[in-house]
Amino acid sequence: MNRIASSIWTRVLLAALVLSAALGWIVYNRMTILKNGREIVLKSEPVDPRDLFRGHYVRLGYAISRLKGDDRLLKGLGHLKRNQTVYVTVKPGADGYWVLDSASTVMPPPEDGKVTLKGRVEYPVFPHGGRVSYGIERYYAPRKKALALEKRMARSSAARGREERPLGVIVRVAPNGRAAIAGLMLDGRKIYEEPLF
Amino acid sequence: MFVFSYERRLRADLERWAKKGWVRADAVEAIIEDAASHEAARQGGRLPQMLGILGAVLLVAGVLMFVSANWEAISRLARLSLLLAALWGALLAGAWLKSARHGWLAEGAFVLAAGIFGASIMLISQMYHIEGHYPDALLLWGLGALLVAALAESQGALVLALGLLGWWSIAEMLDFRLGVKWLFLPPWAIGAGLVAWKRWRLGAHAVILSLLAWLFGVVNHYLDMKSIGAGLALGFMASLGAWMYAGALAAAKPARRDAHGMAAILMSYGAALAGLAPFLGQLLFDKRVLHMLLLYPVQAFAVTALLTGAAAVFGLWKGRIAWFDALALPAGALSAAGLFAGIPGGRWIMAAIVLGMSIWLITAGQRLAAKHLMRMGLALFGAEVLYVYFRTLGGLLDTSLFFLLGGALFILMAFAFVWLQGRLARGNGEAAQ
Repeated sequence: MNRIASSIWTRVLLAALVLSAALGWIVYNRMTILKNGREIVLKSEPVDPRDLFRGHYVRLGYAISRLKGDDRLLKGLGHLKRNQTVYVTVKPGADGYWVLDSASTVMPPPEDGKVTLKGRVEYPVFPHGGRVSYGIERYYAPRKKALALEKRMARSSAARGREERPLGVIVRVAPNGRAAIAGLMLDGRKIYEEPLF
Repeated sequence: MFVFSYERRLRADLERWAKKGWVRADAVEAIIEDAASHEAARQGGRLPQMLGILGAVLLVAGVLMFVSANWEAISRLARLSLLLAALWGALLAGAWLKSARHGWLAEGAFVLAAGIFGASIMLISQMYHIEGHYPDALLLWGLGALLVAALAESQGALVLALGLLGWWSIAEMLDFRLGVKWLFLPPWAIGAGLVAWKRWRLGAHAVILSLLAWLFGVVNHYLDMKSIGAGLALGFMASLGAWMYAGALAAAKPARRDAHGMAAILMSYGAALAGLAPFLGQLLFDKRVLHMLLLYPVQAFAVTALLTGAAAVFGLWKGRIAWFDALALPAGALSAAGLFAGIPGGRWIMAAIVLGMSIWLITAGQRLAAKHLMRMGLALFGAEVLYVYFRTLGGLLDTSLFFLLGGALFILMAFAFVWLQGRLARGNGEAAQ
């Protein structure tokens, strides 16, 4: 009786430890990227303002989400396959937002002033290029925060004309190319910074 | 109501037995009264347990609502601590309930713990804006639930784990077309081992259904690739069914005409798998794949024939399956593997085999007193008739001929059956006198 009781406690404790470790590992991974990653700012593509904050998260699209086959920078990338891993290197652009430099199917050697992101091909586009995701396409925002953000963006759009709504996404990138959203920028100013904890 | 219907059936039986003089007439009312009060006590005994479970659900829902209403106001560190505290709380509560011999409540706590683990994965992804490959989260969750099932010996957590792992493999194979996920098999085998060791009935359903989900993904993948693997996977499915059917019947207690417990579950799924695989094969091997099949090596079909043939011989040797089983199982497996799909007139052979399989399911259900098999057989029969009708709308003359011949054959069989039954009954009657 006593032995049965003690063994279930040990086994359940073991389960609790392993499950906690698994959760801790996810958090630790993210924290390392956010703490030590190289910081870049990507310009989020203009999205229909009515759809922007519908639901619990915002879909973010970037210029580097679409790799185009006629781009001379992508030469040598060849025909992409679904779910294939691609390494996309960006460099600082003129307006402070980072822009596409090159893409490759293998991790390129590190270069000063350039950052490489690891992406996955969502679907290829014939004959070259395709849609690529980097794991930074979702920004979870609760309703209150979303509405406040929407209001600020509307004000900014009105000041700058309707077509351009530059939402900057601050991204930190680990040496292995894994990226994490670290904050949001509007008109060149940080409006949200993600805490580590 | 169960009580009512059981009482009514019991009364009808008892009155018949009383007439035959097997039961004393004055005992009939006493037996019915006892059965009714026993049944009522059984149902009533569950009431406090049910109320307890409902109370726990309300408590948990209340806590969840409070936390989610204030979720954004809580710092990340506090959120993480809250998730971990809930996980540990549920697991330790389960251990305490189990050691205090509250089996069902412990089960609830362990399922809750496995659920909290999944919720934690999602909430952490949300906190850190992680948009990953979503099947990865399912896989991690499923493995976590499997760990809880194995260490805490929880059937509920195992069912959850197998469901999640099946969902993961389907998502990878159908949604993302990432090829056959062999990684499904090791955790599945651990789950199957647990079920065999603990003799969990609900778990047995989950083991079989999750394997079927995975096999469906495999068949679909190979069909996509227009490869021999599709026929092999379907043939394997039918062979597996044949082995489950023959093996379960061989393992069932010899004194009983009907199978019980684990054997009944295995037998039912086995018959269903073997019976339905040819129909699936027929649906999948449509015109575009037909000419590909001609190129397939005969060796692949030989493997299927060998597997099912062995099951049939094993069943016959153990004396547990009828000659009709021994004939139906290999025929079904071979048509499932698409052996007849490529030859001229193969469509009709396959249709005849599928109709034969439906009759086999009905007779097997009758022999083993398994109503669901009879119903499945009837449904398969109807589906096949419709299938043949719609497939051959162009050549209705052929179809009508096929149905006319088939109908005449069935009526002949029915007459033969009634005649045989009458002879047997007379023989028994004479023997009894």
